[in-house]
Amino acid sequence: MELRESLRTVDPLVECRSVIRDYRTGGEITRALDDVSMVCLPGRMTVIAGASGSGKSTLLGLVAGLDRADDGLVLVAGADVGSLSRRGRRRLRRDHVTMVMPQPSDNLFDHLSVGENIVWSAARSGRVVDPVRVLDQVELGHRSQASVREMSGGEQQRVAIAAALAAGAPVIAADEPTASLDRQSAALVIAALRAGAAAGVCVLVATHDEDVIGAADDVVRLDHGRRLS
Amino acid sequence: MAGHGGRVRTGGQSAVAAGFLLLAACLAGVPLYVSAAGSEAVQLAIGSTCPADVALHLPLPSGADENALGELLDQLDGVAPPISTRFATADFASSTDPDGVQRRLVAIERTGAGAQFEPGFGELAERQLVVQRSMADVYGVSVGDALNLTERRTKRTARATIAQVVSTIPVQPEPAFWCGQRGLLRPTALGDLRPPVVFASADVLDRLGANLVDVEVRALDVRTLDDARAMRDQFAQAIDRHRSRVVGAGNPDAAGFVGTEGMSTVVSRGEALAGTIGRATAPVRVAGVLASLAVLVAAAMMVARERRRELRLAALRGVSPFVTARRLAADVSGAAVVGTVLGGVVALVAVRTLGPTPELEPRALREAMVFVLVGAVVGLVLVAAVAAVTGDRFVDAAPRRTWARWVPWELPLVALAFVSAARLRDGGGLRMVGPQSRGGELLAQAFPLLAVAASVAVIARPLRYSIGVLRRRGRSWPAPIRLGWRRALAEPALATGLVLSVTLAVSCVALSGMLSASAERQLSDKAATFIGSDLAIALTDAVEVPTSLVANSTTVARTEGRLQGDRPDGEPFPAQASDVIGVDRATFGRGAVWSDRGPDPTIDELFAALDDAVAAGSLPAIVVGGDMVGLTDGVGVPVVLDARGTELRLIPVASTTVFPGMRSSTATFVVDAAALRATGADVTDVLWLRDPPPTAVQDVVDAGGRTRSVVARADVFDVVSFRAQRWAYDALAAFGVLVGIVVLVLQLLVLEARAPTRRMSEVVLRRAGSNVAARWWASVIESAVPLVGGAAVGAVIARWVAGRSVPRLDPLPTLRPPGVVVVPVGWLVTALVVVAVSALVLGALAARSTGRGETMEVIRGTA
Repeated sequence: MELRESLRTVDPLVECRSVIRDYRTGGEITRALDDVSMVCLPGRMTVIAGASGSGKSTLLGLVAGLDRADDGLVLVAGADVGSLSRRGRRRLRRDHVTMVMPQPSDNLFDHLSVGENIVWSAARSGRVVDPVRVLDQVELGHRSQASVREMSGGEQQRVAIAAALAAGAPVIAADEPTASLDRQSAALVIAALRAGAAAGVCVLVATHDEDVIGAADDVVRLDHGRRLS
Repeated sequence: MAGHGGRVRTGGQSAVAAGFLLLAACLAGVPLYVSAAGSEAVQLAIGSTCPADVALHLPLPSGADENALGELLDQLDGVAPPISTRFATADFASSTDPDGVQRRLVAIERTGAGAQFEPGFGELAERQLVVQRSMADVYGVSVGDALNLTERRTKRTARATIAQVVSTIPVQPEPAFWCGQRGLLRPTALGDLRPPVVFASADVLDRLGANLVDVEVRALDVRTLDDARAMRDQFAQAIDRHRSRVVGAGNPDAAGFVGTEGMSTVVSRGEALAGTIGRATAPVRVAGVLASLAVLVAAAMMVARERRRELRLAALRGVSPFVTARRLAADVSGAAVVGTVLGGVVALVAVRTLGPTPELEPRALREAMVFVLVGAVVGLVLVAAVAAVTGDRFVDAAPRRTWARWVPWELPLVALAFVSAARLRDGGGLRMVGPQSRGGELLAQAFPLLAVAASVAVIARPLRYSIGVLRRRGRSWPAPIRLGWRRALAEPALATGLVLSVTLAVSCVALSGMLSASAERQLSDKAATFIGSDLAIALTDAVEVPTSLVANSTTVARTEGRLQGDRPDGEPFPAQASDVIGVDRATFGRGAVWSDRGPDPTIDELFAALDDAVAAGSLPAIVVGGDMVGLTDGVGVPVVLDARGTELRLIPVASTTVFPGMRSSTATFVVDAAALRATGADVTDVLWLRDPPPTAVQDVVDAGGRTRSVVARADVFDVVSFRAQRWAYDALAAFGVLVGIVVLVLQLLVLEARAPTRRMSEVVLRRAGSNVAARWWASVIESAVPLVGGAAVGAVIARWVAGRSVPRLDPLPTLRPPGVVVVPVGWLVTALVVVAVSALVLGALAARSTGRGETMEVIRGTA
């Protein structure tokens, strides 16, 4: 099924059903996700919460098409991610799910300016945007010409969210976006994520930051790969 | 992704440049090398051949169009001024000879002949002759004597006066100017002198009716195979024009006046040798290209790792690897161009300075450029594709195939090596067939390289396991040595790769040296065995050996004959003749070249056996190569030979496989010379000389000896064919050197990549009391371990492979003795020095980079 076509007809945007994911190290099998189900709706910020090793990032990786479940179903815009080809998963990442990594510098090209990063991100899905207006959504419109290296980690993370918004993807999957930030910077990042949700994007955040959890519309709690609530 | 920027990363780019360097060097080096071999073959062929034999010869009948000939000659490029020769055979009697005895001479007129003597002579006046000193001495003629000449066929006469006596033209070898007339100058096969050659004025030859003129055009400046081809084509066109315009198509004698040229032979020899060398070096070319591509793949992965963050981001954003590859191709193109250009230059310089000759054909240069360009494009696509796909896998990895590590990837290589060994056993390697080198089939010739590659592949897994175990060793060792050891082996896969790369490089270089040295020794041994010594002079009559030669000579009596009757197994003896050599045991050691080897009896034991008592009328004999006539265990079995009409009864008293003077594919019976002569058999005396002085032949002639044939050890095998043996293996050494260079570059990059870790541990060690010396020791050990380990394993593999290759690569398998492996000590010492120096230099660089930066800079990662 064409993803864009399904996007118009399917709701929720992200749905996981009884997902199981095992990792094999040496002769041992570690179950990272054990029968996890969840949904994420457009315009809402859904947080996957849990301690380290609970399976948050694994679940996010499955949604972003970076990994494949051993069992269960991962649907993004109605499409079964597990059955997508490599090219299909690439298209999924380009058009539907923008991933935000925990390390701020990992989300931007440091040889491009802030504005160029926004323009490049939009151009991936054939969009033309005004970088200043996009950056205004995360209150960084005045830093459009700045170099990425000149920016703080919090600013870089907000630029990354702005870039994700510029790409026009209906899903933003953020993995520990405030992990390396102080509370003040983290608050600005949370605001940026909220702005994304307000713009109709399905924001899926994996975190153990209580401030982020507090800002969520929905919370999925994991513990040792199992959903608690 | 929008191009790369940020921090300058040189490791991956350097590795890419190194890969392109290796690729370009391999792609350009081989065709240039083959071209150089072909050109050197041409030069050797021309240099070792009489210039007249490779010249254009245009015979002119009477009435030929001389204007057309002039035009034809004017159109030839790159040739010496033509030499015209005409001659007449005449009987003569000297006016001073009261008996008027008729003798024969050959009167000739040859352009530029007078300039060949000192003092020389110019154009002779009417009715003048110039004679050689030998004629003057033998026939008692002198300046002023008149000779009455009568042409033998037409009976036309002329009278001429001797105007000058010049020195005698040397023979065997003749000066280049006269070598085309050697048939007029050399004694006959039976040692009889030819009629003397005298130089006559034009009118004398006119009177004698000497109409046949030979116009000889010698080639100049033929340096490459292309030059030789061009000259051959030019000569062929000249022959066509000579037939149609000079002789005249309608001339009834046209069939007898066809021009000839010898450049075709030179070209065919050069082309045959170039083809053979091309086949012989093809495995190296294939291996070189594969190794280069492997280096490029590794370099591409290195580039991807260096740019991991941006490639991962691009993949996360769904950028296609195709788009990423385009960007990467642009980014690494600079390194690719630099590496390619350097590789091409390295190949060119290496072939010009170390190859057979610096003369390269333009055609080969063009071919090399095309190969290099195509290779560069393919390499660039490969690097970009591998790096892009690697980047894509950073976020979307393929499921790990745990079974992959158990797949025996090395088996196909081992199987190929076995197939190659079988092909080599059945078909042999590069064979010397007369003046040509033949054979060199790709798969057979690839055996040494495949054996090395298979050996390297086979030891890979055990080595990796061993490194995994060994890296924990050294608890009781001094701390710096232990540190260096553990750093070197910290990553078993990487350490295995480095060790095996060094192994490959060293084994190729060492093996090449062993094969070359063994082939040269093999051919030298065979040459000495074939002629019996360093120089063999066959004599028409017995001669008193000159005093100057007594100390290093012996005279053997040779004859040959067919074995009569049946072999011990009941089968008839083969039809080919067997040799009989009569030796003078008292002087044999002085003149023969002999070396005791293998399981054969010593020379003393063999000669002692000749004193064994045998039946009356029989000669005790040593059987050499009895297996070739069915006398494998023929001691004690009487045989009868019909030796040129004399029946020789021989009782074999000892046997051996090799003996001086034996020929290929036939048995030899060695007997006492005096006993052999006593039978009355027709024998030929052959003087064997060890380390002969340059004047040896002349000394024998001066002592009254008449020589039948003279064969020197160096002349037994055709020089071009002989050299081809060495050229065939030099490419392997070049490949090894290139691999070695790339390995050193890669190791430098690995050491540089480990620098931050070393710096960090250095900070800690400094606080624990470590000093500069300890840092240097650790660094040197870290760089030396893979180099020394790889070199040691490589030397062992090379020796093992050489032991299996040398007997099978025998260029003359039917001629004994069989080959032995020669280990060129110089090569090994050089390799050891290179390894030691490399370890020290790399260690020094690593130590410097380890000590760089202040403590806080190191901790922050900004050192």
